[in-house]
Amino acid sequence: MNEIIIAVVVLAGIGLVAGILLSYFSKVFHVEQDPRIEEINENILPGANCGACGYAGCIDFARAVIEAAQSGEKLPECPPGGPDVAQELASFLGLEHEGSERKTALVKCAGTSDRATERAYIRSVHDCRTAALFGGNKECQYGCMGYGDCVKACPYDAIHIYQGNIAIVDPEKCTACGICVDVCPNDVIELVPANRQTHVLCNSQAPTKATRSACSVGCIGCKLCQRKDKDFSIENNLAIYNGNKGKEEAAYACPNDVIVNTWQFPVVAFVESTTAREKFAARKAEYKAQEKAKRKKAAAARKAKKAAAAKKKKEDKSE
Amino acid sequence: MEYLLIAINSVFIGNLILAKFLGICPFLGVSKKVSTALGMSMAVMFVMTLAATVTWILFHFLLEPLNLQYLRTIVFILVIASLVQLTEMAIQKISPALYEALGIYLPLITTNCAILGVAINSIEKEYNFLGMLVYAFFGAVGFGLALLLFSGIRERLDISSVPKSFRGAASSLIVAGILSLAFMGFAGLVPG
Amino acid sequence: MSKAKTFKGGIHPSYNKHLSEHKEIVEAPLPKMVALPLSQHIGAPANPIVKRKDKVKSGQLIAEAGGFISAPVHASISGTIKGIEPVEHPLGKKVDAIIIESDGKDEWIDLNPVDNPFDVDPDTIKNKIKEAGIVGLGGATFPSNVKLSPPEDKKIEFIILNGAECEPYLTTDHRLMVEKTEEIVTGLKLAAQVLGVNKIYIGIETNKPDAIKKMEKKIGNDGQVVPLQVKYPQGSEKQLISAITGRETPPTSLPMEVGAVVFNVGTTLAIYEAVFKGKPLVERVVTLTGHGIKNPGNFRTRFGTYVAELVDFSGGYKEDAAKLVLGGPMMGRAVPTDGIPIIKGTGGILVMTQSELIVREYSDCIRCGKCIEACPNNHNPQLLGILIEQEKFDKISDEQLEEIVLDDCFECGSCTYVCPAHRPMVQFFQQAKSYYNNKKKKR
Repeated sequence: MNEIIIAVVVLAGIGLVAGILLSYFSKVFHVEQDPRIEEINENILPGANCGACGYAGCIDFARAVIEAAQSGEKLPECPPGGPDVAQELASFLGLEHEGSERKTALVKCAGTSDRATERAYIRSVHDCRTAALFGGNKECQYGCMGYGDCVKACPYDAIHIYQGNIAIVDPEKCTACGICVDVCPNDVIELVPANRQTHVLCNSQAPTKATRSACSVGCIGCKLCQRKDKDFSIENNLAIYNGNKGKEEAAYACPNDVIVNTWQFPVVAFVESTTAREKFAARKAEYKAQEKAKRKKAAAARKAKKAAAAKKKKEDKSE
Repeated sequence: MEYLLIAINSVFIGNLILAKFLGICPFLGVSKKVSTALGMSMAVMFVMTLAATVTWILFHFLLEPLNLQYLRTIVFILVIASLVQLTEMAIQKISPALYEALGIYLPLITTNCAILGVAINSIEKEYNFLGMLVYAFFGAVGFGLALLLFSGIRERLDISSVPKSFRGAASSLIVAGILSLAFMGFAGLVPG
Repeated sequence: MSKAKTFKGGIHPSYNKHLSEHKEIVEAPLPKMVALPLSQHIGAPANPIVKRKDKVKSGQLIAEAGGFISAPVHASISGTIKGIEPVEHPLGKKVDAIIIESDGKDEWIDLNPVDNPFDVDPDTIKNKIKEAGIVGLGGATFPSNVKLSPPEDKKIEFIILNGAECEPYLTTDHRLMVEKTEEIVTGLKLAAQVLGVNKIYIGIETNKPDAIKKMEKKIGNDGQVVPLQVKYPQGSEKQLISAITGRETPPTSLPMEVGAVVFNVGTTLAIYEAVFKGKPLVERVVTLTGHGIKNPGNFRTRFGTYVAELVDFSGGYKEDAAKLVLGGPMMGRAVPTDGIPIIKGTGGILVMTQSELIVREYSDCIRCGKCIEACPNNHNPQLLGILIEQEKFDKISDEQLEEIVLDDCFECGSCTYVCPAHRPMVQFFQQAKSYYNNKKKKR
């Protein structure tokens, strides 16, 4: 019996001493760690550790958020989390939050193999970055080269390559993290507001003659779209659309069919599908026919008015 | 002289990882980068020496006189666990980067049989105080040596084109086996 | 005779210089049209000062230098400006170029040579060189007046004339040294005076014995001709300095750090012509060569001449001509069309045949170390190649190799040449450079 008691006492004693020492040292070596960091990392952030925010993983971003909140600076953004996460973060920290709009990536090129001229016979090239070293595989050096560096880089599997020639983003899957924009050597991908319904599918700053010989759907900077809709601006031989929903007439006015209106055709259909293009051509023809009829009617009306005026003059004269 | 022999034994012939196969967990887990391997070795060195000392003292001055040798395992684990907690707190304060890098492997030193092994072995081999110190310290040196060698090889392995089925743990374990074979070459260094 | 000097590393590719090394320089006829890119030099592109329908004379200034490190562009023929359009450039991306349609007359502007060049203030000479638009014709196209104006604190001890011409197939510098010896030596002495140095070296590879003899006779006691072992890339600045003087230029620094300034043979001749004849830089000698061309030779052509026109003049392509390279086979660039103009940096036009094109798929690195032996700059192409192939750019920064890749590798191609696994080493480094430049641009 004695032995058991001694054993228990010894064990308990050692445990007690260890406990006291540990609690003492835990105070000496105390490291301040804001519990909110864990809370943010676990519950609010998407947790993909994609690095799009520029920090080393979600936990690092959480630290940066707490730091920014404490120093009164603007909170860093989590692109894949988008405005939802931004709102949650702000309310969690008890801060004001102004809405930020959701964005999506867009490949500004529709130069498939039947539309874009090939530059040279190229072999043993397997990625965009290598192709960019010698100016690319298409005559148009501003276009999408289609080897798929963006596809490999996208953490959300939102991009696919059509006919080994051109990349297309799926706006449903895209979280606008921006990694594809960084990776693309030709800067063909741009982050646009997700609710924008009109896009100019061209990135070429080359002058008219060069663009014409390079691609049948290239923007030549003719400004005809601008005439129909003031939200189009032309810079460096390239049309840029900054509005939300462009006028249909602008798309029909474009001589090379560069503008797409997504309520008529989604971008992927406009790039890939011949039927979509045929339908578009039909609508364009219809619109042009309507306009022609209107003009004819107006001309006829002017002519009739002129004839009536001349007739009246004659009558007046004969009196 | 005797202490020199103990030292050589601990580092080469009876290398904790490569000959005794203790402490494989951190050996495989923390050997991806040479810098983290170095940090881990330092941590283990500290814990191993301290743990061996404290347990030796406890055994010879508390457990033995009270005839409680059978409590050795429990007491040793208690002491080692507390020491590892202490080390963890210290590292978190002193070098947060190392703390992050070691991650979960730091508290795993506790369940690391190498520490317990050294503690128990120095009792079994009936070393005196200095002998125990040398045994523990150089045991940790051997641990660190194996860890550094392995992490250096692993860094190289990482950038080589290994066949798909061998990538990762498979090739690492094969290399560990070969390294262990190599260390067997030291077997004849000290007779007996 | 003592053994010819050399540098560490390097390779011995087959030279094929026999195709054109004994062919005298032929004056190519006036082209019908020229396209003069605004960017033919290192630095900011030039700014055009003419517009469509303007009439210009040969030698007239048509674009001003775009900054301190830049060079002006002159009309190489007389005629009418057709416009400014993008044209193909050897570096891949199209660049804007001034197109001039020839009037066939080759009317020149009034030339103003410098009187008594050896007696005037060096700044006058440097200005003349700057106005003439002279850049390094060895291929680097660095503005020569900037090279002649090193910062105050860099002490220059010698000037070296680069007559190595290590690139296979190319023979322009060889022919110039044989045919224009006096002019080159005079230009060299003038450059030496402008820099304020009196030690002149002339490095020539031993495969050009006639050039060595002629230069030795002409330079006399004013300088020293140093015969060099035939090895690629002997003609690279740092390797030339190392072979001739034994001094090693530290990585990523310029030759002036070790007290040397190096000039190409063609550039030195251009300096002579600008100062003594008042001629701006409008033409150069180009080696049109290769097994795919009927009559290889050395031609003096005006800048902006389309390659197609020059090939036509020389006699045309052979049946099996398959690939067109501007420059040499080691550091030149393949181009997709012969509708590309000859510019200041074009030293050679190489036409290769179908049978000479062997493209193999490359395998993993076999770690033989041949690339490490071959690299003239003491790099580790083996490790860098593997890391870049696996896109482990962070590891490159960890090992502090970022600057080596970006600034010190001059893409000579020695590593690619020797690799038994046919790995495209130079292309890996180019990719890494483009990755880092892209990153800098987007951050």
